[in-house]
Formats: sequence, structure tokens, C-alpha cells
Amino acid sequence: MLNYMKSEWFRTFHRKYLYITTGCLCALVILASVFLKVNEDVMYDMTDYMGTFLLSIVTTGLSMGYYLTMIVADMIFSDEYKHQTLKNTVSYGISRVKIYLGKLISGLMAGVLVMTVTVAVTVVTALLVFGSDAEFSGHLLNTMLPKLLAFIPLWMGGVAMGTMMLFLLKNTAAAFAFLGVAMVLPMIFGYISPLYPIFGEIKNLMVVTKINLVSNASLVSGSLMADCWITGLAAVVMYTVIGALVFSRKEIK
Amino acid sequence: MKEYVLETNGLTKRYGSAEALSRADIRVEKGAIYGLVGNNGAGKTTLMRMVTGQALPTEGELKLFGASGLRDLNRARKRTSAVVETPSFYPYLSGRDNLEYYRIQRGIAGRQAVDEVLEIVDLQDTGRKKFKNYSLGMKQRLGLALAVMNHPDFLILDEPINGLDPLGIVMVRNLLIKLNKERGITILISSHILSELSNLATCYGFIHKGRVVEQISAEELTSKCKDYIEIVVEDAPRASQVLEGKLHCSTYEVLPHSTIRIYHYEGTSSSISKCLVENGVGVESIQEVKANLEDYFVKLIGGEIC
Amino acid sequence: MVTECLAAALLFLYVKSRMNIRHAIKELKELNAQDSNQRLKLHSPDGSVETLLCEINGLLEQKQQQAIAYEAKERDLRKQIANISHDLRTPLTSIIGYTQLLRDDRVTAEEKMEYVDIIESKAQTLQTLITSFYDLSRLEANELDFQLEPVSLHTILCNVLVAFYQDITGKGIEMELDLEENLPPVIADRNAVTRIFTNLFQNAFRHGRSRIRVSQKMTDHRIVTAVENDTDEIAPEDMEHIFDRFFTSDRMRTGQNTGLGLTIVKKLVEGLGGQITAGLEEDRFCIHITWVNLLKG
Repeated sequence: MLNYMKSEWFRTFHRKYLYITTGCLCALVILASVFLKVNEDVMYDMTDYMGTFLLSIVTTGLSMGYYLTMIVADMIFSDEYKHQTLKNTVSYGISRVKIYLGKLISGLMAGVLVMTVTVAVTVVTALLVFGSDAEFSGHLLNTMLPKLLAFIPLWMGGVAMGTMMLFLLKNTAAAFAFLGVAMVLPMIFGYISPLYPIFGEIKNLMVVTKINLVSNASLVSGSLMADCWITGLAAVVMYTVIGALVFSRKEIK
Repeated sequence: MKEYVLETNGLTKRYGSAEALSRADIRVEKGAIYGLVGNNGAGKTTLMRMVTGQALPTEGELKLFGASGLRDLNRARKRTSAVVETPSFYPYLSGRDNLEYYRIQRGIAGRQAVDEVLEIVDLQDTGRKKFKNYSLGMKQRLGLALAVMNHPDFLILDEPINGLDPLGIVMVRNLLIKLNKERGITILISSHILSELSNLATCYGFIHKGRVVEQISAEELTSKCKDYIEIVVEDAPRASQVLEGKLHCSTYEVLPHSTIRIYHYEGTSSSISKCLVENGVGVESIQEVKANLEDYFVKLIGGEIC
Repeated sequence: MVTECLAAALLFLYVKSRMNIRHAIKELKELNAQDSNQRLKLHSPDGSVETLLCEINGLLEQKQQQAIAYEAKERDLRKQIANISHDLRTPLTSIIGYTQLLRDDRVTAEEKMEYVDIIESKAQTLQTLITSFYDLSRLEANELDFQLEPVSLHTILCNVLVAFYQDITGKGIEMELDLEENLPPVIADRNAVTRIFTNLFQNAFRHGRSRIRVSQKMTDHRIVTAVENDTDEIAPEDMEHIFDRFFTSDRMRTGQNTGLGLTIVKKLVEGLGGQITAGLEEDRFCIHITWVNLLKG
């Protein structure tokens, strides 16, 4: 499987997808900081700590990261069905499970890479543009990093779900299915929970719900952290098992 | 004890209620070039997809290098290479990068492996041209390059000549013959262009509407679709009497318009005409005809053209 | 925390290496047992194991190439044997035919003597043929031992020319000579050189129509011997086959030409460390031999 993963990485680094994604995120961060810098005087009415402010903006933006996991999964999965390239891999005798897990783990690693780069750029930009301020390290260590740590397993769940969708469905259908589960399903469950409380329970267990919890929390408590990790890992296992099982019997064109 | 690279027993594939392949029994001997002949939709690609593991059989057994069972089959597949339907590669990568991707994936040691195969198929000067800009001929060649890169013992090719220009066809033919003769690579090649196969195959499998109709060696086939002598006579029944009685020939066919085809005749056509005329049967024309693969195939599948 | 990670990473790398090597060993054992084209592959990415596998695969490739060359040689040999049979069959058939004629009472004593002469000459042809084959096969097997000593090319050349003198004047061929007398000695085998010149002349004589030109001189610290004859039997396309075994300008191989003469010359020349080339200019066919092993000092 390591050979498979290395080849996937080779392809990922030889395409523009990864660079554009990371580039866009970093660009957003830099734009935000430029915006803040330009409007410094106005901003100073709200807060004295610009650097920290930048961090907090990014931290809030992180909750959007869940939808980015689909992009990360797609980056790795790379339209194999559309280009019909899977047959070259399958006909060589690389097992379906290896292919599935290879792409999943590569996706997870890619996600970590993108996230690390973006966060690093944020911190560096904040420091460069605004210099360190009193609340900077406090925010960084006590708010941003813990939230990041809580988001990671949830994002892993997202990558796992995106990977499953891409393996089982066609490209566009997969994207819609992802959004369906991420956005539509919780909404529906929310609406019908007064009538059928069970759906309310299910909604509370969903990854998206946890993300919102973390997002809104000012401080990440130990129990919330544990909750996130359990939910995230459970999501990964669930989606992976379903995806791998179905993919094993699928016919590759 | 014959060694079979590929063996199928009762291999069947059903899609819903339709059977794309029914109880196929195929034997591909080591060192052979096995030509799978059939019309479009006859089941050639379905069979190949099951051999490569792209599709799972509904019924029946498949053995590669004597191994069956998913894990052993996958290990055996590492000794094979397949180009099924049009070669597919990542359009946004160059030919070289595509091959490098698969080289890493298949664990092939040494970067030079990519350069070596590109040279074999004459694609070494494509530089950074992306696969999406390749012509069909170039795509086929890249597919072949990938196929030979892992030094397979068994090559599975689905209509590899499709879309090639005459020069390309010659190159592919020569490459396949060289690989087979020099390195003993067994080749399974499917086509509906019989004439191309007749220069290549050592063994044939005829497939029609999902059934394997016949498996036959090249020698047997040439002797079966041997030359025949075709005569147009005045009186066919009388002619057949003379053939049986005087010439002791029973291997003949009577066709419409008083035409008789005589197979496996040891003598000359002039001796036949002389004998017929001597016995009062007028001969309008007589000629020696070389039968061909197409005729044999059409006859075999009962004259149905799909 | 950091040390744990480091330890885990090292352990991972170690296990990966071990697995790669184990995998390679297993594959190599399988390759040795069966007849396969396969090469050793990596179980997982690993730079140094990859380099090692590359080297081993190089050896495997060599082994396969040798097998291919061996097969080609075997095929060649079979073809040669077929050619030899063909060449021997015709004179033999002739001999048998004539011996049968000899038994015939209706044949006169005079005619019988004539037939005996023919049989003798055919038998001699066979003998020459068989000797040539034998020599060639020994040459190919590098079994002929050269007795190397300083030899005078000029002396040997002249000796051979004298032996051919009668034949040449008999056929009415014009000889042109340009021989340098004071050439330095060459380290070579006397018999081989004699053979070389003999075969060259035989070839020129047999195919030449009216003119043969021989030159031997010092050029650029080397001695070049050139034998040229005019001919209309050779076409430019044949030139690349001129030194091939059994190549004769007579396609049907009806004559007494074995087609081995020039092949033997080439083998001998190269065995002595020299170089040989053949050229065709309009109707002039020429062979150049360059001798390099001159006696120093």
C-alpha cells in the first residue's frame, strides 16, 4: 500500500490542484490581513490587538473547513472514474481495499498538509503585519490550537465521507451527496425532531453538530475535545467500512 | 503436462437477466499468442474484464498461473499486464509522468525503466506534452509502454490495433512477435479484424453472443479452412455422383447455382474437370480458391452477421 | 513525546526495510524456480533497496539476453547445417549418379575415364568444402592457436602471387602490382597470413573479369594491403553481407563456391588484431586489410 500512496503523492504534487487550493486559502488569509491593515484606524476602535484579531478571524473561518474536506478528498481521488484510470491499478492486482485505504490515508495526510500550511501562513502573516501583541500567544495557545485539535478528527470524518462518496458515486453526485449529508440532513433532522425525538438524538451525534459546538465555544473543554475525537474517529470507521465493502464488489470500467 | 497461463471453467457474467458471458471454458497455454475472435458485443471485453479483476464473475472459476482465490489471483496479476479498451491515463500529466506514476505504484525499481519503455514504443521525444493532447496512435503506444514496463509473463490486449496507422500496426505486430518469441511472453489478444490476427496468433478462441464456440490451434485452423476447388457444373447431382464414384471424393459441398466446393483433394483441378467431362458432366468453370479466416468464422457462427 | 515519535519513525523504517528485503528474497527464489520474465520489485518505497534491486535486475536482464542470444545462435546453427547439407548434397548426388553410370556396360572405357575424372573433381570439391567448414567452426570457437612471430607480409604475399601466377595468366587477367618492399615485420601467424592472402586471391581470381590490382604499403604507421578486382556480379545491396557465412554472388549456389572464403579471411584478420573493410566502386570490388601489430623499433 505504501507504493500506492507514494504514487498518489507523486501525482498530487505534479498537478496544480493542491497548490491552487493551498494558495487560495493563504491568499484569503493574506487578503484578510491586508484588509485589516488598511482599515487599521477604524479597527482600532474595536480592538487594540490586531494580530490576535486576525487569528480569531481565521479560527472562525476554520469551521468552514469541513466543506473543504470534500475538496481535499477530490484532490486525491482525482476523477479516476471519469478518466477510467482505475483499471490500470486494478488489473495489476492491487486489491480494492488497498486502493480505498491508500486514497483515504493520502487524503487525510493532504488535509493535514493544507491545514498546517494555512495555519502557519496565518501566524506568520499576523506576526509580520501586526507584530506580536499581548494577547497573541494566549489566543494562539488557548483558543486557536485547541479548536484546531478538536476540528481535526471532525475533518478526518469529512475526508472519510468525501472519499466514500467519490468511490461510490459519480463526481457531481458525490459532491451533492456530501453537501446533502453535511447540510441538508441535519436541517431535516432538526425540523422533524419535535415529532420524532430519535432524529434529534441522531442530529446531536453528527459531525456537523460537533463542529458548530466547537465553533461557538469560547473554550474547548476536555469533555468536548473527547467528544469530538470519538465522533470523528467513529465517522471515519463507519464511512470507510461502508465505502470499502461496496467498492470491493464494484465493477471498474 | 501443459502449463496454462489462463484457465476458465464455466465463467459466466450476468447483468440483470442478460448473460454477457455464458459458461466460458478457455485455456491459454504458456508461450501462445491466443487470438480471441468475435463481433463487437460478443463478450470478449467482458471476459477480459474478469481476467483483470475489473469485474467479478457471477458464476464459474478463473485461474491465472494456476492460482485461484482473490488473494492468489491478485498476486498472479502482478505477473500480468493489460490494455483493456482504450488506454486511459491522467490527461493533465505528460506521458512520462503518467508512466512514472505507475512505475512507483507497481514498485518497479529504477527511474530508467520509464525511459526504456518510451524508447521501445518510440514516444521518447514527446517531452512535456500532456496526455490529453495525444493522438489515438500515441495513446495506444503509451498503453503498450505501460504494459511492458513491469516485464509481464502474460499480456492481455483488447483490440490493440484499433485506431493505429499502418506504420503503428507494423510496429505493434513486430513488438508482440518479438516479445513472444524472445521472451516467451504469453499473449491474449482480442480483435474483430481477423486478418491481423491470422499473422499473429498460434491459437484461436471464437466467441459469439457470450459463448465460446470453438477453441482451435492455428495449424488445425489452416488445415480446416484449407484451399478448395470450386467448380460450376451443368448438372450438380450427376457431378456429385461422379465425384463419389469415380474420384472417391466425399469431402465436398454443394452450393446454390450448381456450384460444388471440393476440399482436401489430393490431385489437380485439371484431373477433376477431365474426369467430369469424360463422364458427361459439363464443367462451366473451375478454380482453386484459398479459403480464409473470415469465411471460417462466418460459417462457424452460422452465417449471422451482427 | 518527541522521542516517542522519533522511535516510532525509526522502527517503522527498519520494519519497512526488512519487509522489502524479505519480499525480494522470496521473489528471487521464485524467479530461480520458474521460467519468468519478471524482475524484482519493491514491496514499499525505499531508496537503497531500490538501487540494489536495480543492480540485480540488471543481472537478470543480462541472463535473459544471453538466453536470447543463445537461442539465436542455435537457430543460426540449424540454418548453417541446412546450408551445409544443401552444399554437400549436390556434388554427392552427382558422384552417386556417375558411379551408377560406371556400372553400365554400355559406357565406353574412354567415357568411364571421363566419369572418373568428374567424380574425382567433385570429391575434391567436397573435400575443400568440408575443410572450410571445419576451419571456420574452429575459428568461431577460437580454437585455432596462432603462433605469433614477426612475419614479412611482402614475402608471404609474393609467395602466394607466384602460386597463382599460372592460373592468372591462364585466364588472361591483367595484374597490377604496387608493393612496398621494405615494410616492417608484423606480429602474426605465418599460416594465417598465407591463408588470408590465398583466400583473397582466390576470390579476386574467381570473380574478376579482366583486372586485378594488388597494393601493400605503409600508411600512417600501419600497413594496408588492398586487393581489387573488377566484377559485374555484385550489387551495392550485397555489400553488407559480403563477409557473411555462405554468401555467394551466385544465389542458387550451383557453383563450387562455398561462400566461406571471405568469412574466414575476416575472422583471421580480426583474430590477429587487424581490420578489414570491403568497398564497391562502380565495377571495382576492393578489400582493404589494415595490419596494426607492427613490430616496434
